[in-house]
Amino acid sequence: MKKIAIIMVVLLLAIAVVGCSSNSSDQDVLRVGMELKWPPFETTDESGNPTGISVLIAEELGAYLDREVEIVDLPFGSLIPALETDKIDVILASMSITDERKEKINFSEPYMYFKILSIVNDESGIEGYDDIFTKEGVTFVAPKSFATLDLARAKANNPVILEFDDKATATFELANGNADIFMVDAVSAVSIASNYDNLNVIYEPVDVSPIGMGVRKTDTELLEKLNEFISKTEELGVNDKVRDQYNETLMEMVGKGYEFYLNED
Amino acid sequence: MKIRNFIQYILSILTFVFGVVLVILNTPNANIDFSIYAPYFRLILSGFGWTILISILIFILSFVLGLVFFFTSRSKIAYLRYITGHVTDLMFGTPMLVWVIFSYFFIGNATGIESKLFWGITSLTIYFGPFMMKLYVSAYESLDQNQFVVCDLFGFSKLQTYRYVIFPQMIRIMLPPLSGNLATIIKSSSLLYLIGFHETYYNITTIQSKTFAFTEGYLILLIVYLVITIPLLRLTSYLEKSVKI
Repeated sequence: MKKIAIIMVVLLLAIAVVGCSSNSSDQDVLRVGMELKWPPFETTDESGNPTGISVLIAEELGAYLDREVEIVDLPFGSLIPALETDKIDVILASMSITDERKEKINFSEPYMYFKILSIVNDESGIEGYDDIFTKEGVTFVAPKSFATLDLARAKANNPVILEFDDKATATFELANGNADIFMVDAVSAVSIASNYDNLNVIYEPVDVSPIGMGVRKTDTELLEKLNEFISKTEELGVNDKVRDQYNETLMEMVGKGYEFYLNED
Repeated sequence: MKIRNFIQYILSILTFVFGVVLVILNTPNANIDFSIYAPYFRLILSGFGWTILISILIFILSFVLGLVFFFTSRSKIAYLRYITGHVTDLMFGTPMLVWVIFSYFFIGNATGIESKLFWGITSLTIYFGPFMMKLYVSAYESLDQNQFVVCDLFGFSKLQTYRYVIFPQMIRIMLPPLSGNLATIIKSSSLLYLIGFHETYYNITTIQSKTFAFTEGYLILLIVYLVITIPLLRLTSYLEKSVKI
C-alpha cells in the first residue's frame, strides 16, 4: 500500500513537471519584441497590424527556424526586462549593441548599422566631413542628453555646445544660423534638412552603431541559430525582399536604399 | 461713422496679418507646408476638444474651490484659516510646472491614483483655487460693509444675506478678472503635456516629432489657442456688459 502511494506521488510529480515545462517553453511560437513606433523599421499599417523592415526580417527568421512568429509591441525601455522575464524570446527592434546592454542580454552579430549624420547650416563654413571635427570653434547643437554632443566634446576642435529641449528647438537654432551643425539619426537628419533651404546633410556618418538581435543569456541555442540566419540573409533572399519592399520608402525618407543600413561605413 | 469704424477694424486686423506674414517670410528658409498636418486632423481635433473640456472643468472647479477657500480663510476655526494660508503660500510660491509634475508623479504614485485625467484636472484646480479666492476677497472688500447690518435689520439670515445681497454684487465685480483667469487656465492646460495628457500641445508636438514640420506645428498651436480663447473671452465680455450695474 505504501509503495503504491509513493509511486502515485512520483507519477503525479512527474506529470506536474512535464506539464509545467511544456507550458513555459512553447517551442512553436517565436515571440519577437519591438516598439511599433519607428517607421519604416517598426510601425503599423492603417488597420493597426505590425509592419516594417524589422517585422519582415522577423517573419523571415520565423520561416528559417520553422516557427510561427508573434510580434509583441512593447515600449523600447521595457524590451530587455520583458526578455529577462520570459515574455518575449527575441528583441528585434533596431537595438544598438552597447556594453551596458550586453551585461544583461546576449546580442547576435550585427545585421544592420544605424548611422548618425550631420545637418549643417550653409553659412557654417563646414564644407564636408573633414571640417566637422577639425575646424575651430564650431557650434554644435542638439537636444539635451543626446549622445552626439559627447562625441563633439570628445573629438571637436574647441567646440561651442548648445543644448536645447527637443529636436524642434535645436533645429530652429540651426536654421537661424546660431548653430553650425546638428548631429542626429539619419531619418531625422534627412527629414529636417528637406524642410529648410539653408540646411544640408553630410552623408558621411559621424558615428555608426551596430544593430543586433537580443536574446536571453541562457538561450545560447537560439543565439547560434540567429547568427546562422544573419550570416545567410543574402543567400536566403531576405535582403532582396527588404530591398524590393522598402527601398522606395527608404529613398524617400533617407535618400538612400537598404544598402545604407547594411554597410558598416 | 459706422463704415469708417469698420474700415479701421479691418485695417487693425490686417496690421497683425501683415506682421505675421513678415515674420514667416523672414523665417530662415523654412518651406512651410501645412498639408503635412492634414492626415493628423483628427488628432489635432481631439487635442482641441480635450483642451476645451479640461479648461472649462478646471475653471468651474477652481471657482468653487476659491469660494471654499474664501470661507475657510474667514473661518472662526483657526486651523482652517492656517490650512488655507499654507495652500495659498504653496500655490503662489511654486511654478505650475513643478506642481503638475509633483502631483502626478509623486502624489499620484503615493496615493495609488494613477489617472492622468484626474491629476491633470486636480493639480490645476488646486493651483488656481487660491487665485480665485483672491478675487472673492477683493470683491468682498470693495463692498459697503454696512449692508450686513442693514440686512440683519430686515431680518435676513446670514445665508440669505450672501445669497440675495452680497454675491450678486460680488459677481459683477469679479467678472472682468475672472475672464482673465479663464484665459490663463486655457493656456496653462498646455503644461499637462508634461504628464503625457493628450491635449493640444502634446498632440501637436507628437505630430512634430513624426513629420519634422516644426514651424508649421508652432503656427498651428498659435492659431488653435486663439480659436479657443477669443470666443470664450468675447462671451465673458458680453456677460460683463449684461450684468453691469
